[in-house]
Amino acid sequence: MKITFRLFLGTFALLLLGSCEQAIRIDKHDFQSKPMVWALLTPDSLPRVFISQNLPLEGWLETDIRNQFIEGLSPQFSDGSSTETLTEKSGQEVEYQSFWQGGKDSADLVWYEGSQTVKNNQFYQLRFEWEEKEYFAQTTIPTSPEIVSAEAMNIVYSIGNSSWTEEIIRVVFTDNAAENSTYRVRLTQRGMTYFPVFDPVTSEYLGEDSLYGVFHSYSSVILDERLQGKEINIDIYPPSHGMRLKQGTNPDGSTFYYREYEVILETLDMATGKYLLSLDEQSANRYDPLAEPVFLKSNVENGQGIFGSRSLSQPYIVRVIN
Amino acid sequence: MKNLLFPLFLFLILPELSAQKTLSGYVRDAQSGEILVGAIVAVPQLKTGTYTNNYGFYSLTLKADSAIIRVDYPGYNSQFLTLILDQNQSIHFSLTEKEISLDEVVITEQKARENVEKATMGAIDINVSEIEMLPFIAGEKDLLKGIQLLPGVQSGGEASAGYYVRGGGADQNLILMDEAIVYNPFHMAGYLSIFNTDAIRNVTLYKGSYPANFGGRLSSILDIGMKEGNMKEFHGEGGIGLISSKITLEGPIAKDRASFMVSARRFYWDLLIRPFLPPGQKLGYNFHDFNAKINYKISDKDRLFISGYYGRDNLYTESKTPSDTSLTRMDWGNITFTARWNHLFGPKLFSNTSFIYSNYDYKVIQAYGRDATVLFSGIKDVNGKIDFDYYPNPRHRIKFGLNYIYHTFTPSSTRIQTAQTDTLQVQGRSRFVHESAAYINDEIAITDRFGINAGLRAPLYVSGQTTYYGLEPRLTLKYTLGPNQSIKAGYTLMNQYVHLVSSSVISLPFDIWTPSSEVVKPQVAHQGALGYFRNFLNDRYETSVELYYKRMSNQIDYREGANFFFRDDIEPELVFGKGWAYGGEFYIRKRSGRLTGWIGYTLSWSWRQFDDLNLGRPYPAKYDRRHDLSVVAVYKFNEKWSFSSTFVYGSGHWLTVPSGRLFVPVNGWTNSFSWYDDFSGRNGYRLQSYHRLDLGLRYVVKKPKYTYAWHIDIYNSYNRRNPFFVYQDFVFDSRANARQFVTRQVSLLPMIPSLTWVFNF
Repeated sequence: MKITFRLFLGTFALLLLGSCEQAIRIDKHDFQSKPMVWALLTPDSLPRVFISQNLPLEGWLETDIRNQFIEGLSPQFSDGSSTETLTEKSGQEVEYQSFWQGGKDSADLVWYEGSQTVKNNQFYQLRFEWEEKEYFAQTTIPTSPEIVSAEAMNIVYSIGNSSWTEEIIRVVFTDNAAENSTYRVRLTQRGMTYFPVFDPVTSEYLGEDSLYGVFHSYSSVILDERLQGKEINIDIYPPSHGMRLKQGTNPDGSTFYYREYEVILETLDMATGKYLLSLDEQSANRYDPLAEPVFLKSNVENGQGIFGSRSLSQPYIVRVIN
Repeated sequence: MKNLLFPLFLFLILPELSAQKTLSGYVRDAQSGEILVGAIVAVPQLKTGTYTNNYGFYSLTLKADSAIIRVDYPGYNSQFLTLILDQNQSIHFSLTEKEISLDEVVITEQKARENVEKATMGAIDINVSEIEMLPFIAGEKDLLKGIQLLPGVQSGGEASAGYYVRGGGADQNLILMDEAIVYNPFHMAGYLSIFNTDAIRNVTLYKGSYPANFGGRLSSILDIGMKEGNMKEFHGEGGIGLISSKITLEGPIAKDRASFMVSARRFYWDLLIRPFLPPGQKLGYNFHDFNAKINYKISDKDRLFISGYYGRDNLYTESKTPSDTSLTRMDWGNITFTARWNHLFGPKLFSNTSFIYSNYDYKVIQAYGRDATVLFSGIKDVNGKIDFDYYPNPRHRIKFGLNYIYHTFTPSSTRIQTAQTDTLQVQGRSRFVHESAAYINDEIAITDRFGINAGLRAPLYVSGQTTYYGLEPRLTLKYTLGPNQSIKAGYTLMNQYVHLVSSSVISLPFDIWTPSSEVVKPQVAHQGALGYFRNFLNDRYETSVELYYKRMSNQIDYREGANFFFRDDIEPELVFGKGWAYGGEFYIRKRSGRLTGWIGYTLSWSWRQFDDLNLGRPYPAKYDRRHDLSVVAVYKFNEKWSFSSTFVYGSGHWLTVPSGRLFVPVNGWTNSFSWYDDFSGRNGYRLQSYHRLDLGLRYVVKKPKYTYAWHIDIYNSYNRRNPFFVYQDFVFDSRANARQFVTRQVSLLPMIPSLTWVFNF
């Protein structure tokens, strides 16, 4: 009797709680094919525009990366007085996250490039046609920023009786850009091989050591909506390991070790800042089932992505003695 | 202004000056002494009448030497009384319940035409006994699930008792239990409501054209009254089900002077699964409800009601090993307390003064060994109000009053205790808010055909340095086209000062109530409605068509990327926009005979537009349902056997899921790319439609001193896999030797048969 009763209760509990699950299809008519633009115009460098396309969920894993990029377009690049058709280029290899291998893979990029360097404070437009539809975007190069100071310091945090120290690099600058600009800070270390990367947009940086570690940037994007003329701090937490140490000599002849960082402040147009923040937020929440979904922001009419611009400060050297 | 006031004064007072006499009193159930809300007190020969208010009180002023008074209430024998009208008289009516033959028309003529003749729109009186006839899951009768079956009311989907009215959000429904605001009316994360139908006497849902005595929410008012307790004799009722049991006791404390009612319910899923858990493991969920009410008749002019509710949900898991113990416990619940004093200033002026306390809170405890984290949040109200019903003559029913609520909002606060550290209290900033309102409402019969229900409410809201105030006009016009048909039109303006910000991803009991502030502006809604009401075949069939348009501003949502879970200050996470909804509701109801029931169909649209969401483009609200159909049927074979069924169909809810993928430079550096989600739009994917057929069979045995019944119910009788939620994931396809990306839909409730035994004595 007892067993029967338990069986009965168990069956009922299973019935009640037995959720069922089935695979469904996201209807293809929900998907609209659109071009995805990526450009970050930088003064004194050539304009580069990447144009890829979104892929429907079904089958996207099987699609060759190379086929993401839209080739054969004739994008019109204009500064208001003159217009040029950007030239298609390819060949640069980049890393990307591979879902096939569960790790990293690489692919060749395809992009469109202009022949005239980008000028400070200049207004630019991009216009192109794809699959009988026209796409349009515009941006104005923001004013170059200046770093007032940048120094390493230790900040003490505490909760209850516990406390700990974090090393930060505090970058101070004055918001002198036009309204609707954003800022971010790039912290690099020449010759550092922990994150061996390079920046293909600004070719001049590929000098001397050619390897730059760009290990901090996205968390420091700030939107300049109420900051006109104010002094702003951005704190960066440098990685605690993997840094290249340099050797110095004290006046008494003894040696010491230090880390040398190069701080570069960027002013971005507002659309780019919002776009970058949306990238960060989507990445940060990708595996959080409770987070609100994040749409990537865009300033491309009819399309997606960003046709943005930035200006760079002079590099500011910060030394941290170990 | 004076020029306007004087004629108004004359209009109200002049009838007083002539030789008129006023009858007033209460209408009650003869057997239990319970008041009857909405009972018709009429004088057919004079073509005049009135109906009882929420406390069973009526007042009727007549200009005649004598009159035959007729009192009607559905399911009760009509009562007639001939009176010589030589003075004002206090007359109480006690109606006896009908022994209804199955073919008889159970709705009396006056009551039957109330839907046509009353100058109200979008208001539905819900018969609790009718709800109890419907089949529900595991024998649990649920008030809110019954309300979901009404036109214009849409369900929150699979396994949800949540409801959405005319395109509004879940927080835009004001739920009152004996006048106390209920902030979270759900058990089991929304599956069942906290309202034990055995303890409920009357329920009215307002979907639009709200009387001015209600305010504070944009989309609906659900006004629930608890039973008062039998004044005559001791009674009890209860039920034993497979997952829960309940009991209600009521009776006189002093016969015809004081009564009590207590009701308790316990859900015992935790007890059911306990035998199947391994030693050292505890996992369970339970809830319990407790309702109580005392009703004391101090004198013919004064009555006192004290009522309360206490309910709590507990979800816990505990694991014990010889070396350690880990525990996770979540519990949440409501407490309400209401003390009301009814006073008659005279035959024409009735007052009710209330003191109300309401509390909702939730707590999450996580402990491992000697380390523990406790998260807490809640909202507490202390509310005082006074309402007057004034009946100057049969053409006016005037209500006016004042309402004041002191809200205390406690956002998430955290307490952490570890073996190494002292207790650390991270207290969220409590916020104290004053919300008050004055109102006046008049239901005016201009002519026999033309009636107006006009009201004005003036809310005032103060939170710190922030003050909001406004004027809320309410107007309903009714024109009777014939003895059984009328057209009505209404306009309502509503403000809402407290807001529940819900995740668009998942509904949990931990959604956060937040008050208006300098940043969070009050929500405002303008609603217009037009309706045609007609009864057929001697009022056996009631039909209506209502069209509505609602425009809402200062709508609130989480910004993209926000994670709402246990935020102390959520304002930085909020974005603001607007919404609009429109649609038509079609309703046909058969009210008598062996077969009773209704068909309700709603065709509707509901939209939102936020500058910071969906790239600024308008998008459908999550619970925008294009089609919503409910078919309810109850068939009585005989006194013992009856059969009931409900069928519901609704277009699927909207969901935000990626429809594609983008290959994008990581963080803007073109030396590293990654995949990002491409959304076709916020709420860009509609889940599969929801439909379900529930069946119920009742077998009732009546004995001289008690009655019992067996209920056999089948929920989701054809085992429809209705969507609960959708998620996306990678799976490894061994045949293709590759990872596949799949979208999966999870359904929660399959076909569930149940057996329940109920009794009353």
